[in-house]
Amino acid sequence: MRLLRIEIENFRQFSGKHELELGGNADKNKNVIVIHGENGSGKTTLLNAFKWCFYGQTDFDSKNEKLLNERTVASTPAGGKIEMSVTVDFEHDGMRHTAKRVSIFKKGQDSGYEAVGGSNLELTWVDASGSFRKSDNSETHMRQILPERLQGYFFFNGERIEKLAHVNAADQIQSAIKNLMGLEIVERASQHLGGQVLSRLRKDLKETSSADLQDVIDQENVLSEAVAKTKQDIQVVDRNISEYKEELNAVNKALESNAEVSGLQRERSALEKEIVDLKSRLAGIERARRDYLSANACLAFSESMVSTSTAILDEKRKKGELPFKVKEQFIDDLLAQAKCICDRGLEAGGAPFQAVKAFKSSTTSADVENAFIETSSTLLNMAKGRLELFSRLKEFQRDQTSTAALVTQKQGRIDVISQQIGNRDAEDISKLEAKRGEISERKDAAVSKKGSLQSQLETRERELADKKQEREKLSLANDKGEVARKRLELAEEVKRVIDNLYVALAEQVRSKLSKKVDDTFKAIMRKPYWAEISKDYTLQIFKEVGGEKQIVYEKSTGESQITSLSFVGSIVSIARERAAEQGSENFKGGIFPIVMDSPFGALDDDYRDKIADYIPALAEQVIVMVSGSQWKGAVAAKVASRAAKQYTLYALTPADQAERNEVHEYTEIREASHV
Amino acid sequence: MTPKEVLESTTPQVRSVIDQVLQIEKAQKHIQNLSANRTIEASIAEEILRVIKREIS
Repeated sequence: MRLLRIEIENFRQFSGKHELELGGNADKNKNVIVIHGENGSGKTTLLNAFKWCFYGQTDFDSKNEKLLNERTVASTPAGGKIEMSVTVDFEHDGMRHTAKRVSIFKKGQDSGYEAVGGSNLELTWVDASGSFRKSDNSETHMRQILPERLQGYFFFNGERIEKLAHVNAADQIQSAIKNLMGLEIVERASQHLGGQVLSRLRKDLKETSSADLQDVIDQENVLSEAVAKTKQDIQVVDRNISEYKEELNAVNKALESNAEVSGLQRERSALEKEIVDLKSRLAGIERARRDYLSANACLAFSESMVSTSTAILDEKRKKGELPFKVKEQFIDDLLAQAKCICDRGLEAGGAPFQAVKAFKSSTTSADVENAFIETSSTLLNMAKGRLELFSRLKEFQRDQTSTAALVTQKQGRIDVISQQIGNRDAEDISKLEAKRGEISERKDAAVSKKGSLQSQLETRERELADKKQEREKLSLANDKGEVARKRLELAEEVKRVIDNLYVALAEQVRSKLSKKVDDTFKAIMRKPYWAEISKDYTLQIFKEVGGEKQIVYEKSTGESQITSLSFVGSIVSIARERAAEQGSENFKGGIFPIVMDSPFGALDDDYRDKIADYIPALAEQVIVMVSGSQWKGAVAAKVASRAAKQYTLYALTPADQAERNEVHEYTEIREASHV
Repeated sequence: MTPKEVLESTTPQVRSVIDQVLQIEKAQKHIQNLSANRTIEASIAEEILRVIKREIS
């Protein structure tokens, strides 16, 4: 998708019709559109105009209330109709499309007005043959072109995207990867196959089966439904956990902005992040301990076997039986040369020949010798390994104990802070703290429920696999159901491969994205930090301290913003690369524009300079909205040279329009050439 | 395993069915909360069943 033009009519502070050309320039070196405007001039409105046009939604606090321009309402006679619309022309799949959303309002007798029906979207395009086409289902069609759930990555407020760099944004990151790379269709395919499809095929098989087989199929269906239901329950709990995390974030922010407890809340947030990391470290130690035990636990019981075997070999060595001092090959060589080492001739059949040959019976073959050496060495290693096993287990235990102690210590400090905040007299603080406590409890309960559901799921999946094996054995003897059996087996195999495909695709995208985010991040950051998207999809920043990798918790807002911007830019870039790849039709990314409001907001001059270098490369088309204070120095110099067009939003206040008796604020758009 | 290796590890028949199943899912990918729409879910399952039955008839 490439945005070509936007026309706004009577939308928020835009009175009448206003138009911006966005993408006529095909020059790849001029892929940026800059929209200048001071606070309140309409930059955020412009960003939301795209969202409203495409999806009928905005993210203003007042949602879709009060979108109609007040100045237009005031100038419309009572009973008159007012049209509010946003039209976006864009190119998609090589065809020019026009999306136009309209809302009609009727002015009342006073200054009020009411909507006449809802908003309507009309989507039209000119197809490859040059014919004009109109979509029968514009809303659905628009979402096929640019899914609504993805819009947050393409139309965003630069100052707010820093939240992507928080630990609890993992769901958002996972979902972006899933949606942008087309993995969702793979996930859905697995769900449909595992649900209704397999259930129907089992039913078909059951109809041709013996009573025993029918019984097993029934049980398999019950288990299969239970597995699907448990997975759904886990998804619901996951969503609840995400919502609780968001609510907690909001309360935390409110506490942080309260001067009285700001410091305490910041300390508590930092401690909580540290605890999350420590707990993840504890889980990592436990995983490593289990892996180590599964590979080496046998050594714990090897002492008797090692000492007995070593004693046997030692005895053989002492007796000179193993390894034998004369090699078999040496005797063979003497016999072949027909000459002993004492220079006596060794004629075949003669007494000296027989005497030398007799040595062969007391030598050992090379294989036995090698086995002796290998066994001796293995026994030695096993003895060493056994000692190392106990030493490593102690190390694991030490690590676990010290990490758990740190968690307890930090939790203790959090409890003290919570008490201090909760005891404040200010009503707003104690209310916020009480709310925080309630949400935390609900979140903890949800996390615990998720754990129990996951354990239930594992049990049911095991039982289902057993039942499947039982059914397979019985159905082999069922000749009549041959076709039904083969169909069921095919569907099961397809599901199995699709599940593996999903895991492989998700991992491939995650690791590629992690590398790209890191490359971008390192190019911008001045500190020697690096970024990673971990296997659980958290986007984190690391640093090296004394040769050890450590998470950077205390990021400035600017650093978080850079992290998030690196993520957005990287995901758009990978989606673009993937769209161009051959043979990835089903897991295709796409070409997307980026429209961002205030990308330089919380950055200092140095970072602004670096981001300014990076922004034109973020996507094929970038639309940036900047205030005067953000547009200066290096930013102006670097971005202006890449700008295809620049516009300025002028907010006109009643004071500016005193001579015209204007009582409403409104915005005008003018083409500009800021440098 | 890479996605390519996963697909190569199976039979051409399974690969062909996977491709058809993904095409069916792709046609409905714009629907956000698919699990809430039972009619569409049922029609997708029906289409997948037809693919399987066509393969083994």
